[in-house]
Amino acid sequence: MARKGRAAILPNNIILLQNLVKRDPESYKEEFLQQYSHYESLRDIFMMNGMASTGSTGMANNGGDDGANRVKTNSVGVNGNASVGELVELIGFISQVCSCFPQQTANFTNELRQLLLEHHKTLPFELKEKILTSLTMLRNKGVITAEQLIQTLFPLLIAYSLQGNSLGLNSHAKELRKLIYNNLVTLLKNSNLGSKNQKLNKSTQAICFNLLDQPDSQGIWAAKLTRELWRRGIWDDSRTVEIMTQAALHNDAKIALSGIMFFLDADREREETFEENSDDEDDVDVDALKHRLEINKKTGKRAKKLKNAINTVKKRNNTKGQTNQNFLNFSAIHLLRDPQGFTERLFKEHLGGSKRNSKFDMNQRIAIMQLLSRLIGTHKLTVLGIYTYFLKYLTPKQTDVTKIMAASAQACHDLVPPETLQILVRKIADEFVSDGVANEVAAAGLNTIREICSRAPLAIEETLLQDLIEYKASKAKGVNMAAKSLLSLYRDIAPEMLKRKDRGKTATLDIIEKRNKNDLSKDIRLQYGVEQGIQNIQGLELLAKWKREHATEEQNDENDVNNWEIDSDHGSDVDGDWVTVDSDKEYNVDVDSSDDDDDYNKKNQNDSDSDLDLDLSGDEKETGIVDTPASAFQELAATRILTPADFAKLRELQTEDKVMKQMGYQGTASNNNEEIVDAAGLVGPVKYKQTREERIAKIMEGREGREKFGSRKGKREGGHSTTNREKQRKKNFVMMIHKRSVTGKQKMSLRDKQKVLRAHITKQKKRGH
Amino acid sequence: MGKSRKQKQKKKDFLKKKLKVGKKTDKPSNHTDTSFVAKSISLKNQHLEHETDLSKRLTLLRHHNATVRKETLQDYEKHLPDIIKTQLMTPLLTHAIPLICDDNLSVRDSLIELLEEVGKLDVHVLILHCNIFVLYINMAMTHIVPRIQMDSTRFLACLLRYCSEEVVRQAWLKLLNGLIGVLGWGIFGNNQASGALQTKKRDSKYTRVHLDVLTELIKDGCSDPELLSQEGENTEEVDDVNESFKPFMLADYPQPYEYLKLFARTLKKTKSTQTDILSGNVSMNNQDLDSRRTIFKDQYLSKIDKQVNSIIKDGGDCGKSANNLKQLLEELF
Repeated sequence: MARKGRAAILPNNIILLQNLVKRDPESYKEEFLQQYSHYESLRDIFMMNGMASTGSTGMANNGGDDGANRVKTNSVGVNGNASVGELVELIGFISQVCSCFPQQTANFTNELRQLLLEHHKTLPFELKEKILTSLTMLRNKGVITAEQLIQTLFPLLIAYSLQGNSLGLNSHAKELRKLIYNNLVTLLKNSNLGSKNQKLNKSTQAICFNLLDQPDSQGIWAAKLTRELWRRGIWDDSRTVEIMTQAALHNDAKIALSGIMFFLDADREREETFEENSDDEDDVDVDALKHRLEINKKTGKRAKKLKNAINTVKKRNNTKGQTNQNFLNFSAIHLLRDPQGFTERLFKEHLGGSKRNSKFDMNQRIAIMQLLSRLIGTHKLTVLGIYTYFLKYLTPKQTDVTKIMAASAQACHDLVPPETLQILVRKIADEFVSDGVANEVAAAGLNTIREICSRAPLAIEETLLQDLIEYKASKAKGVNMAAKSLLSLYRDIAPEMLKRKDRGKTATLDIIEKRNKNDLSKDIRLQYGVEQGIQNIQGLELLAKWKREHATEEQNDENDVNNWEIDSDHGSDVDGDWVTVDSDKEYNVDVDSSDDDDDYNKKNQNDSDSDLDLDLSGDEKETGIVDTPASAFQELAATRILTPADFAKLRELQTEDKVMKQMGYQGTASNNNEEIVDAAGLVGPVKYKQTREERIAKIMEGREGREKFGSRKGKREGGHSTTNREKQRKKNFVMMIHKRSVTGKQKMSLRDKQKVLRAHITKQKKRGH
Repeated sequence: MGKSRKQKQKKKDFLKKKLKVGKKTDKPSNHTDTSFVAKSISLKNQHLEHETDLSKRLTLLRHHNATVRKETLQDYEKHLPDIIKTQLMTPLLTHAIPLICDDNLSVRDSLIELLEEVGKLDVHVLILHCNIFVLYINMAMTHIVPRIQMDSTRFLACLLRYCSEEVVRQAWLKLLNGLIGVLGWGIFGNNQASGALQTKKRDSKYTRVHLDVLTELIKDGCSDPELLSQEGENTEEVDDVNESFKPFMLADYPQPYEYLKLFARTLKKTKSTQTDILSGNVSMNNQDLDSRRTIFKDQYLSKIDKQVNSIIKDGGDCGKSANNLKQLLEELF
């Protein structure tokens, strides 16, 4: 009995000992030290085995007794296996409790790191896995710093992505890489949880930079990690973007592509992750738990559950608030330090040379073009080579040509010399827009030209423009629409380039007014390099418009100052309507203008100019206030000081405006270079003949949620059996003929008959027949 | 009538045969008789005799069944004289030595017997594998299962009997530390009250063995073997010449320059801590008699003295062994 009692106290397995040591480290110091030296001796055995195995392979090469050697290598390998479990257990134990004995185990973490770094080739997988997890645990306990852990993890990650290692027998390279990578990400996530750990971030980023400096393909891990961290919003500064620029310029195609895809997709990815995060919010339902606790039996376990749930919710709310605070919504392209240099190098290194091109296939090259054009468009850069580079690919037979067209449109902006763009536009017009090509091709060409011209109005010559606009008479809908949209674009930005009959009423009036103001001799055409944008407050025109609309309802104090202006607005109430009911009015204008044009043609030209001037001078004042940002800026910012309330309203209006835009309503034609040209939209609406299945599917879609039509005859409302009345009606006539109810009817007096009939009629009326 | 014989035969073929109780059914018409007669039959794959190739039975040393392991060990012991000079010895020992930490007592017992046998037949085999031995003995000394820990000294005793010099030279400090741990004397001394440990270590039967082994170890480690041998036979004339050359000759033990760690795989130690003083530059300290003596004197002597005295007071078998140890210590220091 006594023996047994003692055995109960004695720790004879490691888990038990771990428990005891954790509770009372001082008392069990001796046992711990014993286990620690056990670990040391096991480790030594391991080291020796590893050495023996390398030695024996050497021997096997020399030949000799083959059988004996085979046995020997076997034995060594298997000896290891036998004690792997023990060593794994011990390492786990020591790393669990080593924070209790910092002095004795000072070397422990260092040994683990060395084992992993220097002997990872000979260690079995379980052991490596255990060491990795123990190191992570030690980091969580604060025994080693995050920097130390990262310095261990990175070299391993690289070692295991090398060809030689991953091909080795039982190396489990893939699993290890996954494990290490996940460890890295969670480590960085955890250390950036509260506030950003700038020191760690910087050192890790430095490692990434170094990796990308090397010519081999190891940099892929740096790129992958950076992208992942960007996606999670952990890294969001310009250094991160700098890493990716280095990746994008890397010689290795894989790395370069990952960098390029980062710039193209990263922001979208990031938004998606944040949306997802906000979606899976209501995992823990605290209220339900509370309710359950009230109803069910009250146990400690349930109470604990509730407490945990509340804690997690609190924690989540905290972190969520912080991430929202920390998270700056700058897109990667905006954070570039030297966009011009980056773009030039990217173009030169990946698309420039003729030979090196072969390392990217077509899709990848398109991705590069997209990135380049987006960069050029966003930052208004000057990389002239790219426009001639596009020429090569702009043929209808090129695969994914719409993407290339979209990219080429994206790459245009008003600071590019018109000569270079004119070549591009000419090429598109020649290749895509002619009578010999399919409708979709022509539509795509026209739409691309429109996109280019909306960014750089001078990119097209007048004659070509006028030729292209002739396509508005085309019978194909896509082409027709594309030509019309090109026309309306030029009505807005440069009506003087259009033919007279195409200009439309308002545009013509504008021209005439301008001509009157200036000398007739002076050219009023658009010119390259003339600054047209005016510095303003974003969204101010919306505020101005709103003010004008609401000034009519409530008279402000400031009316005295702005009297004239508001008066004129009073008059132009219709004007406000014109903006909101856009499509209708546009149509009217079209009709008007054509009418006008006809009139003008009939009249003398000299007369018409002066006539118009006289006739429409009144009109002009009404349409004088146009909601351009420039005028709004002058109107508002110059005359009054904006209050915070104004700014609040402004923000509200801006969001409203954005929503409208999203829904496809083109309110103000603000030409934003950052908007991405949609490649799929370039082709325009294409309508093919539907198959039967499609047609039926569409019909069925329309019928969804409505009851079936058709006769209700013979259908009973609610389920019931036949009533007595119905049964009576169906009875055989001969059977009924002698019944009193029938014979009695014949014998009824006239008065009684009348009574019955009257009663019947009133009854029917009550029923509503 | 009038049917010919042929017709009758034909008809017979299609008649149903009547089965009768107690009589065998007729054999089918296409039956072949395969019986034959021979003087003797030899089947190659059913030899009842044991296989001669012992190397194939090495894996049985890791068999999950303890009896199989034990029997395999005994089997090898039986065959030892045949294989002692062959290449099989190295794999055998590398397989057998890990059994020092085997759970089963009988397996460990038979392993000791095997090792004794090996030692008797050829000491050099043991000397060659000395480092593996030391590692595993050391592991056993710190094993969490008490029985294995207790038995570790028996293995050490066996090893000391045959290659004491090599053992002491390789792992003097390691083994001393281990032994003291097994005895429960505590390396750091501040934990004497750790009750469970103490009572366990007082198991007198084992303590005697431990003490004997410790005595043996100290004797081997701190006394000069040459002196002992010279007491027996005096051959100074020949040795005289040798003595002057000796420092410049290659050492007569295996791996004389091991302490340089030219080919060893070890982990670097960056921080020097308390443990390092004891276990740090072990290999250097083990090398020669003088350093061993000084270290022992500095760090262990007083502690062992104290413990030995207390055991002597308790008396019994342990007391006797402790007394022996004390005498030895007095003699040496």
